[in-house]
Amino acid sequence: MDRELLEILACPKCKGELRLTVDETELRCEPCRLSYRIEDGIPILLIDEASAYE
Amino acid sequence: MSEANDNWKAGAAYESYMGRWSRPLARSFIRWMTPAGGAHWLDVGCGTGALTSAICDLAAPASVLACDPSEPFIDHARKAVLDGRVAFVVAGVENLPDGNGTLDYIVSGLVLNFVANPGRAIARMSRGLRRGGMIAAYVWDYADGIEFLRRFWNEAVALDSAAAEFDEGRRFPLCKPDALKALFLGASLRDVTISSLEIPTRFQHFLDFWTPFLRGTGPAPAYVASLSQEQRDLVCNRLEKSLTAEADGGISLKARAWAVRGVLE
Repeated sequence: MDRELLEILACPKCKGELRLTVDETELRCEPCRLSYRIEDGIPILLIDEASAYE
Repeated sequence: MSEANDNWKAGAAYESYMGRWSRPLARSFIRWMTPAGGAHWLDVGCGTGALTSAICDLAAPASVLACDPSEPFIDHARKAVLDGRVAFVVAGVENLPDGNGTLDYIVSGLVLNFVANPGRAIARMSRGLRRGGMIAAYVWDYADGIEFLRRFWNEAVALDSAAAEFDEGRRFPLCKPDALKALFLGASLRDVTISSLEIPTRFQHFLDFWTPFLRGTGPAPAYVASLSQEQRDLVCNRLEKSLTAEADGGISLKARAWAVRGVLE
């Protein structure tokens, strides 16, 4: 995933920073504890489709 | 049928109905914007990729981030726009990426009238823009400007007055120059300019005109889908009689959109 793109993207819930997981399959918002999946290189930034993580 | 096929069909249905006209319109819009090359763009509500593609072809961008809340549309767009400068994201206008105030152009084609709160959407978009950057958008002139839709609704309402409630011309008061200008001025943008963009919409024959109403996505196809076969045939027959075909069977109409642009202070 493009690093510059990552800098532009934000959590749709809190507008905060997103972090790419090591395996590059998810973007995570740490304050919201929400994970947004990446499918075929396309982040799915929809709150309804986010999953909570511990 | 696989989910991927369903997704493709959803995008393809839109293409045959409005999408095919949105491509020449998007090109007309970019030419009107006269953007600088090497810029960073955000395309809000990219749909099947008509505007994203026009940006790549005509504006020599450094990058384009294209967003849409519909996964089927994004799926269609990424297959249609094969350009290394473009990145796609599934995101709605209400939860746009911030852009950190670094983007040069934020554009939105044929979207603002579908957004629940356009004022908030424009305010949200402007957050991603650098100072001096431009927000620009366009919407179809549903009230008077899309002849093929106007012809359809004229016949539909003549048969069923309740059809008027579905008419986009009534449903989208934002699709007028004064409303668009007020929207942009309300977002504290300067140098707000409005223009009409007109494109030819030529149908090869009557079925080329009618078939998209049977399978497209949007208010008119949804209305057609709600009719019985008999009612549908009545609308179809009236339309066929009312449209003037050329010697080769083609039907030439026009479609107009309103474009607006403004610059962030």
